Amino acid sequence: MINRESTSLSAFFLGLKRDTRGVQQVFIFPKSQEKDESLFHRNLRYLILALSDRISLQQIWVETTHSSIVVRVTRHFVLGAVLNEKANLALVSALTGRIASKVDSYFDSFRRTDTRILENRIQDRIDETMASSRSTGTSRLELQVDGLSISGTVVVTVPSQEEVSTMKERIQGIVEEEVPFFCENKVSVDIKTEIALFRIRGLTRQTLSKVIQRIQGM
Amino acid sequence: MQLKILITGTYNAGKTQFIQSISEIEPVKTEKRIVSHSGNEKEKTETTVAMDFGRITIDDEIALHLFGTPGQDRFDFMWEILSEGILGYVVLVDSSDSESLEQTRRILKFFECVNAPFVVAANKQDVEGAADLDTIRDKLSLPEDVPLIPCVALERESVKQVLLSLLFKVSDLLEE
Repeated sequence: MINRESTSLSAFFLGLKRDTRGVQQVFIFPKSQEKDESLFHRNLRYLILALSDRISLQQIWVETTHSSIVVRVTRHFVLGAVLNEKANLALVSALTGRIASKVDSYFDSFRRTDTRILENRIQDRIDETMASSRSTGTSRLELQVDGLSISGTVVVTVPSQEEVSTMKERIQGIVEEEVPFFCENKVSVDIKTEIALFRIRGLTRQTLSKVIQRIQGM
Repeated sequence: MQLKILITGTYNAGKTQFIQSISEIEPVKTEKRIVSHSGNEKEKTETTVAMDFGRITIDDEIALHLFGTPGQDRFDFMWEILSEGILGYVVLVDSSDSESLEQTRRILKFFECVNAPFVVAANKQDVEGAADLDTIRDKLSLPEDVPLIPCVALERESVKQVLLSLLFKVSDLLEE
């Protein structure tokens, strides 16, 4: 079950990524998974592997004149941030430490989670978003979990072309917040428009024929 | 079931008259006197400030409601409210007023976001010097698939043809 604690951990990670001064990049990748990794990840993994033979590794600080890298090592993950000189090192250290201390239990609970729970959470938030806007569209979503990546499609229908980009941004934000931060987010968001009259309940060709006949007979 | 058609257009395009010509009830009007200093006797003396409303009963269960929008720019916040849940809309153009054509472009642009079927009715075709349909289509940059119908809002038969044109368009969409 995805609990409140895990959600706040995701928020921590997103906060580190978006809102923390001096943070240029954040990263998290599984210690054991090697596919699709960048040169940066691969080199970091080799460094951790080499050092782990000698010491029990929890944190690495790499400092240069104008920047630094903080790396946290957990049972399942390597996570950290690339910082510039504006960063508050104590704050970043506290944030990454908080994430590192909880990420393994979060991951364990995620592995026991049914995808439908995640789908329902996203669906509820999309429904709330649509209810709060003028939009009265519909939505549909299907997600698949494959190891540490989540793929699938969210299809949302809005009444007008003008709402497409705003709605897409909002839905992508929701998906990013709800997909666990250690998972690769491969979920695509498709916003469609629907002609307004298809939302009129009970409107059929038969009804319309009656209207046409009545006007013709006037 | 209440179906709704919106009648929109610029100030003095003839929306209130259009509804009056076809409505089976005395239309509900929200007209206010205009203070004019021009002294021109032919000038319009009242204008719609909220909406006009007319009704056509189809049968015991179905009624067609016609809502007319206010034409003046300062009431355009009403357009969005009135366009909620519409079957389609009619854009009335005052063919005898070239300035009206310019303003109609803005209305067409606004209603794009409503994403509903519509027709354009070139009203006041009986007025001497009224622009012909080709000129109106050209000035409004109307695509060929948008019906442009000549109209005299004072005549019920003419109003019927405009509404039928819109209803046939809706029917085509439902068939698709």
